[in-house]
Amino acid sequence: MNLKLLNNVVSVIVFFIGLTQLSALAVALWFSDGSASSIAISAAITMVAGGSVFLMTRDKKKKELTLREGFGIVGLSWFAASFFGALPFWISGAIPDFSYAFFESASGITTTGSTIIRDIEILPKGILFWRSFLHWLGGMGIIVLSVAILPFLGLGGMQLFKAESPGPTKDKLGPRIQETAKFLWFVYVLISLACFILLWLAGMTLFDAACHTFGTVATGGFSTYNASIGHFHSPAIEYIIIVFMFLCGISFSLHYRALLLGRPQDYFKPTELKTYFTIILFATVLIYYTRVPDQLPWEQNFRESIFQVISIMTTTGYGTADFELWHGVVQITLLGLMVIGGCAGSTGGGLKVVRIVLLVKYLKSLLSQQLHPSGVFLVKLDGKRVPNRVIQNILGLFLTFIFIHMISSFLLSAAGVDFKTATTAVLSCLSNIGPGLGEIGPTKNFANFDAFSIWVLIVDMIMGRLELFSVLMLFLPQTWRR
Amino acid sequence: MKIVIVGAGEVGVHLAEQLSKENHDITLIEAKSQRAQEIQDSMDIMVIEGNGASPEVLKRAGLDRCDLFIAVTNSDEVNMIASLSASRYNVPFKIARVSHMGFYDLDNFLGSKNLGTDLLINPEFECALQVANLLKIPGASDYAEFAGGEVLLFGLNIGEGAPCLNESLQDLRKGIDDIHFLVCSISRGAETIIPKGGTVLEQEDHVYFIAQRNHLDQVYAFCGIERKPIKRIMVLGGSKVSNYICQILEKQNVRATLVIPNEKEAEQMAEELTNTLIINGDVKDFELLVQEGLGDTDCLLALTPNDEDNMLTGIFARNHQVPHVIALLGRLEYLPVFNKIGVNTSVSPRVAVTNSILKYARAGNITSVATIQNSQTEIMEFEVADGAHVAGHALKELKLPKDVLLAMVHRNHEDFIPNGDTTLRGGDHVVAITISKDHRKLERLFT
Repeated sequence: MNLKLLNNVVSVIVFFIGLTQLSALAVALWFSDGSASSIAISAAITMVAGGSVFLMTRDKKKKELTLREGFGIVGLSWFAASFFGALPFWISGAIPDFSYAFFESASGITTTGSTIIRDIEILPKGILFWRSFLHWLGGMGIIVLSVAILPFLGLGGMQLFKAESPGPTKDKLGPRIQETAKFLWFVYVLISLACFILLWLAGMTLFDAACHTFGTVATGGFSTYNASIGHFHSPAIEYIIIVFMFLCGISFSLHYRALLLGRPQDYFKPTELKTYFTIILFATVLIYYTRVPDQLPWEQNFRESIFQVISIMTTTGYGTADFELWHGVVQITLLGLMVIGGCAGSTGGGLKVVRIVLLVKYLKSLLSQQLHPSGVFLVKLDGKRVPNRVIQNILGLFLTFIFIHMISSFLLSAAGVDFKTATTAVLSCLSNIGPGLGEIGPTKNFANFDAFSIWVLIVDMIMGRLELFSVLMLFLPQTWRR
Repeated sequence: MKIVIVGAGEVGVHLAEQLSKENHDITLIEAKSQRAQEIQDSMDIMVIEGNGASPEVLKRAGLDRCDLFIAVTNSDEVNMIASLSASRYNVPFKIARVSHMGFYDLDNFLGSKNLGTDLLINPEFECALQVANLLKIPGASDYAEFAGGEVLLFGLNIGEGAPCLNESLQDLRKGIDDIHFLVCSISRGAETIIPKGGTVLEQEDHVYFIAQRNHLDQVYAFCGIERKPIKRIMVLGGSKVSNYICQILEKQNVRATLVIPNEKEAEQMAEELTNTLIINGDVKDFELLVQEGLGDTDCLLALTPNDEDNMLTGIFARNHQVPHVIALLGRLEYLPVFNKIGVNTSVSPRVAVTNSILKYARAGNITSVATIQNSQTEIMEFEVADGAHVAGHALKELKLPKDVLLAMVHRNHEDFIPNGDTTLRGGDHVVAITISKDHRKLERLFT
């Protein structure tokens, strides 16, 4: 492990986080809400910290990034980004306890969307903006962004890209990884703009439209109101957000090929997308059906059902209704959707639909093998063979997911959290969703956790965002060996 | 006709043999000097040693005076380059053996048109098609299509106590109204009989029919056998032929069981096929075959590259009451043995491809040709020319050669069996059966 190189790259990313804080500063100045000075101080601290480490670790001789540094950089960058992202909350006094500020920042940048703030509506606008902006940075990935705009990362970029972007296999959109990263961010910005304009036209203020665009497109879930999207009482806004959450739960490289290369037929090919759609459809119908006895107008029932389904499935976490009050079977279904998550290559979290598809196919082949001991059964996706190591990787990921879930739930329970809250809080954080059940239901928040539980959940969120392995690698002695 | 063949592999040599028998001038190009020498010594053809893709070798072969160019080496690339060169020499008809199916896509920029070939041919695929056709007519030993696929030729065994026994064909024919088939040839022991009205069928006969596709049930009733569609199929061997046949079956929604001894090949096949059950195991592991449901199989396709294995598994399958067995046959000398042990029929890529190529070598007004395995019988489809010898007179007034039988006439999209009062017209397609070796005699009749 080349620590100098590692620190060098991480410091650039930290400096960059500092730069983006200037956007929140601009918002704070515009609304002159009193948070400008504290945001300016934290931006300065971040940039100075990043800049000085960068200068100290500069090396004349160019060194290649290896796989080890790749994992190290990605893992550390996310912790560092969360740390420096927390400064505005802490310095402005919006969140006086640093652990909680760190949680809020990590929840933002990992696009989880869980908050520890009881009343967000009293916060200054600059701070609210920064909260949501963290979502947008983390949605497509700070590393992918760095690869896209920092030319010097070009060479080792693939290592970083591999470690950060979600899904079992990565597709390159061009011969160069930097190009791929640029294309992805381009599509991301384009979709964000569309969402922003539509939300504004539907009646949001520019500020709300921006913040909710960040929350929707990054499938994050931070709102600027305590009642989340329910605050607006506007079906139009809800439908716009439904559509964009749905779109952002789909692979962005697929969007790139379909929209920018003019091949919309590509949308109808992947099994993953078909499954994604089918799951959403079934869950919506199920929930709609269980709520028929409530005698709601059918449109409201449909809208609320599909909103919660897509919000949970894409791991956004916005709410327009309190699903804690719904039928038990609905809650279990939603918990299932939390584990599944969005499609690979999307901004959504969870284990990803494609992994579930592959696992089911693998199970099917195992059963067939019982009947035909010398039969040859390959797992295929869209007509192509999926190598065994990919399947093994997925199985490993599942096991790790379960282990980490158990350990984290144990730690939370030990800290005095009740069973339902503990298990769903960990699940919600690992899948980067936001709400859970019990004490952290869709209308509640994470403010009641003690600092110990908060730190467990912080690690869970970052692990979940980087699909476990990239963070676990940091605890492996071999990673740090020279 | 001057014909240049590139590649003295199985297909090339078989073609050269057949075409040379029919009085064509053959030049064969072969890269391996030993093989070239062997053929030079055993056949009356010109052999040129050299790479078929090399311009200099092609020039030596006399491409400028060649009428038909056939490139059938084992390499797609050599065949493609060779036929591209031939098109530069303005050879009227060029055939290239190409195994990679991607080139068959007509829109492909390297499709047959752009390669300068008139016909791309894939022996293994031809063979698989033949198997697929045979499966459509359960129990059939041969299969050929005439009149654009409307008229079929096939051979069947006669069932026990069939209604067609003990009576002359003439009398039988009177008993069936609206008849749509014709007995065109009979194999009795080693003998081949072209039937006349007075011929009486015997239990052990293998009978060849010409029939209209839509009236096959009539033939089955005639033979006294039940026509049960083939649904469960087991395929042995990981050859290309098995791959193609499974792909064809998958398109027909038939789920076959494919047994492949080689693990790598089995995996490769599993990658290419989606709806076929692939078993990795020895084809002679009879316990395994039974485990995988050999007993319930309607048809076993023994398609391993090893004739002896095919024979053995064929016998085993017959003993397990598998009604139909089709085997891949490499050495044509084995054919009588195959038939004896109850293998319904055998297929061979090189015979399949030779048959399709022979069509083009016999130009003139012959449009299709089929030969019946293990006999001298040939079935040909002629187009009657205006003012031909046979046109304009009732058939009974014509003096047709003794060993010729006119089986079916295709006129204005309709088929009928000709009788003595039928008068042929120009433009008619006539399916004729002959055991004569001289096609020219026949050809003269129709031109």
